Amino acid sequence: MTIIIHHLQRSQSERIIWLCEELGIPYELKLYTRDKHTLLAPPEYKALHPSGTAPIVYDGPIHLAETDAITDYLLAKYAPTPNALVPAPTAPNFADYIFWRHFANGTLGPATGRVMMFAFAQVDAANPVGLGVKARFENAARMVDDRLAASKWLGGDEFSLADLMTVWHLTGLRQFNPFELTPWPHVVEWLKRVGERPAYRRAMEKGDPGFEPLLGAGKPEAIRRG
Amino acid sequence: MPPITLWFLQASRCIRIAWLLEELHLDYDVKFFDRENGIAPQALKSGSGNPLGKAPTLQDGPLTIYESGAITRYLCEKYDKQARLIPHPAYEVDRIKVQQWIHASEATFILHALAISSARSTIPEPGKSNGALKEMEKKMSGNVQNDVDWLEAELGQSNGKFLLGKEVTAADIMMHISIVFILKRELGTQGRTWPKVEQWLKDCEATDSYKRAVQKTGHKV
Repeated sequence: MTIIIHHLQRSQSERIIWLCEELGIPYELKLYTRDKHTLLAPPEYKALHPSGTAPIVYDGPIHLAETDAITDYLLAKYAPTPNALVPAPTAPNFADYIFWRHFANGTLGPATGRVMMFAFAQVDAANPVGLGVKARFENAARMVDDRLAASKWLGGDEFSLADLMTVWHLTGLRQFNPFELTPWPHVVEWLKRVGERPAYRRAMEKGDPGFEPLLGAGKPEAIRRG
Repeated sequence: MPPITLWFLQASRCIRIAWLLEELHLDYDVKFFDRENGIAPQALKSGSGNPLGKAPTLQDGPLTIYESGAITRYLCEKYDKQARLIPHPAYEVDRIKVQQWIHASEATFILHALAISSARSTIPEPGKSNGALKEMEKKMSGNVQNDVDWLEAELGQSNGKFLLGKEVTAADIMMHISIVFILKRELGTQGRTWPKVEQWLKDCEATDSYKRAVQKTGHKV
């Protein structure tokens, strides 16, 4: 029985499709469109799991939400580590890999998400809390850029789950609160390499056909209402 | 008893707020006032809590709000959870467009047309028969026509019946009565017609929400 990836289009669930493409895990794909006014998941998506947020994966009777839970589950059951995306604990870069893999969703994601939420709430640019939020994001982005100045991929010489988890926050998420990547040139170079990966291209084509991945440095076009 | 009360003057721009309330599916009471000799009666002037005694004035619980644009923004921010009528901030371009129309409906369209209306109602008699009023109207018509030409062009660019496409937004709700005012009273129109504008007015008035607003308030121009 194949897993089902419930993909909310224009969302971070693109990463689960990408994960499966990279590791050759078979999956069935169901696509859902955001409510064009609220930008949120439609009612039929929210009904899939109490969390109501993407990604959601079904494996028979097992219904999972939460990117990292889904990832750990899929790796354990269908691509036990070490594998093409995850090094062994004995690998020299294991600590680097583990740091960047968790930095993606533990620090960078929340920092970028907070900037976006403050923009949605139209918080005044001079608001001191807003300035703090902006500073934290810029620090996280600079850390990523500095790492990529010194290393081809976040974990080390090879592409890994650390890179896969980081991409969304600096690409797709920008359609909701557009910003340039020009302050972080090594990130821009790294995204070019990401865009060359056949698994990434297949995942984006299948999940969001017709949508050009936001890999460029320029300010992307904001999401449009239908 | 609903917490929202709309203080409504007949044949005025109050219909905007009734239409908006209907679009938001909100429950509200109407305090209706007919004009007396063309103007608002004293009871409206002193009853609504608006220091200028103007309508529309909205009461929502303990709050009193006036100025169509402010009422529109208040109601949308508080009640439009679907962000249908004023787009979500992520839709920056659409949101700016709607804000522009909300402001232009008064600060551009009504502003230019009202000058003509005020001239008509205030010019002393010699000005009417000696052609002075006619000349003034002709000179003031340039701005009005510029404005309505712009509206016609924007409607031509829209990918639907309404200003922002296939669905009504606060842009249509605020703009509609401004244009009715201009066209019906021929304020600066100088015999010209604008086909897309006229169709758009019909489309606005054909919406269920507009029809309910008219029925509930008894609005007529």
